[in-house]
Amino acid sequence: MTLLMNGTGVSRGIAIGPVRLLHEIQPQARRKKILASQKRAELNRFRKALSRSEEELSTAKEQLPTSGSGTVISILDSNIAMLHDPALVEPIENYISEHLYSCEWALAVQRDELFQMFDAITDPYLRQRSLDVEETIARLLKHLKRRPAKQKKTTQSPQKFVLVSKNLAPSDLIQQQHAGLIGAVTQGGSQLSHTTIIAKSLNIPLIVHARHAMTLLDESDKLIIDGAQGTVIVNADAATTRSFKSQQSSARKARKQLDSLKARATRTRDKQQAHVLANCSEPADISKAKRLGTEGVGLYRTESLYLNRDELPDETEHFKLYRKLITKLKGDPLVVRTMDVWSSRRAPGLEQHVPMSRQPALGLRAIRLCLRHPELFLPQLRALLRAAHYGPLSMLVPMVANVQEVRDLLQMVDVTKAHLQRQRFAYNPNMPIGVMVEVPSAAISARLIAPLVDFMAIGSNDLTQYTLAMDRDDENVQPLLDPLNPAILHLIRETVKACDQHDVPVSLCGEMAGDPLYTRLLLGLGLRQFSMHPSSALEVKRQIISTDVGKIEKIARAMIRANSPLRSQRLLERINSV
Amino acid sequence: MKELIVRVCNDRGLHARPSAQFSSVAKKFDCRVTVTASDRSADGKSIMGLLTLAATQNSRLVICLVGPQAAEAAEALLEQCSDTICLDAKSDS
Repeated sequence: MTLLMNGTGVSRGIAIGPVRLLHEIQPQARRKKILASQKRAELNRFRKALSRSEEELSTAKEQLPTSGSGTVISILDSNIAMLHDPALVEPIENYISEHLYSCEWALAVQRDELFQMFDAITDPYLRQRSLDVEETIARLLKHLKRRPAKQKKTTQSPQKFVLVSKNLAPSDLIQQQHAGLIGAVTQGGSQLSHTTIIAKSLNIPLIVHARHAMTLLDESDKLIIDGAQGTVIVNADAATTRSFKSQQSSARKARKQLDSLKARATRTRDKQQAHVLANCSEPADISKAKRLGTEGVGLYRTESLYLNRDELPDETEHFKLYRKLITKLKGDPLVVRTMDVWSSRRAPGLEQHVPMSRQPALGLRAIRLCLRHPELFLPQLRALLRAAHYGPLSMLVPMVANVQEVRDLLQMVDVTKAHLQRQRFAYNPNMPIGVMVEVPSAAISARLIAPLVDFMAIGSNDLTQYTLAMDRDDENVQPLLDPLNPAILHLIRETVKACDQHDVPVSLCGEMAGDPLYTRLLLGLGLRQFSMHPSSALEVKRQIISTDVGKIEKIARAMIRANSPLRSQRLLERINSV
Repeated sequence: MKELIVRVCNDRGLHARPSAQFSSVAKKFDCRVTVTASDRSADGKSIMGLLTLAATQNSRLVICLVGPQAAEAAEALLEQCSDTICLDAKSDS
């Protein structure tokens, strides 16, 4: 009989195979004391458990595929580091030798101590790290019990199976994958766990929170699991199985194809050069973005420098950050957006300078704040000019509303350059300076602004919310925020046209840029630079490569004149099906 | 003795992997490393200790190094953990 179960899908993909149950051995931690004469033997047991645990983790590390396992290896390394942790080892040895606790008891006592410390943590991600401690202790308890059966090395390919368990440690996932695991369903688990991170990077479908899975399933069952939906189908009929199999193979093919795109040039069918760039907000994003196929950073947000702290970052802090980014990018372009801190996020360092606004989104923020309080902006500006000496860095200034702001800005830049010159700092006098087009007035006067700047970047999220006068954080109007609104498309087109006329590059950063549904439309409106969350870069690139701009330009421009949302939808479908 | 004032610069804070890296670098040197975040202190050579500091992005840490290799340890930590911590503006080194 077919049975359908639901859990939370945390790692995408489809797996089809028989069930294998993983029963946890729960060693009882009896409150047992040892004799003074057994002290040495008990300490030895503990040390042996430590070395066996380490051996287990190292083996898991060796079983990983050689490429693309960076994250997984660092997680396993952190698990190994825990085994050498004085905060774990020393108290336990102390319980054994001073208080004559048995190993098991000492472990249990120390586990509770450590848990108490984690309980006080409020940050959800960091709090979850108590899972690692739990796993470490469980691993040690397991190895105290017995020597785990040596994994037989079989030459024939192992039987494939879907693992069902209460919980699953990251190292177990890797070992089981080696033994034939193709997917996993757990009763517990979490979205933030290391097991989830590893499953994702190894492309193993994983469903957590599948309640009662251990009781409902046994090893004669055959499963289909869909990691995107979080569904588990037990003993599906032949037709269902076939349909999932074909989904599985087309997904596999698509993934392979996407990966193969990394090496290809981002060029349309009719040989128009385009670029896929990344939006990033911390240094670690950069290597990730590169791996995901982006060609540089089109938008680096600097807000995080200002959040959750009482004072403002100084020039040196800015400078060090930008230099670090340049080094990481190894010659790829970097666009740094200057500060725009205004929302409900806490930035106490700025609050003392910025008057409270009834509508902060419309208040003294970004370039307005920078021009009013140059002392707040100068450290960043100076650091950017200096860092640009070391690599292809451009400065992007947000929230411009009129031409005069741009002139004032450029004057401030000139004065700052003169200062740097006098103070004999190395800096780049030709650092490209661009502005964001996100206020409708900037789009409307793009023709006036374009000749003054080196590049422009359209912020489609804000441009949409300001043009339509709809708060994008307000759930009530969110469904009405239509990026296909002809007014928005008109503003994008006018901005691109103005930039083309003055030979100024223009990019679009915002959700539209990362949604493959809109890629062709944007190409048709004349856009060539897409900056987005790196996870969708290759999908957008695939769209670009498959597009013949000449064939869709007309339809894209007709969308600017579409007189109903239905017509807009139809035209978009036509563009995407050409 | 050497004191560093740093800021946590990665967006998830001092979680398991950065803590593991920090402690493994710290362990290589002959000196005591104490890390303090607001009201709590931890042994910088202990990954679990560092985790329980619950240091989120931009929180400020005071790293106190005492011992023969304090200076080398300070330098190595700043260099090898640069994705996680960066020297705070107000630190006098």
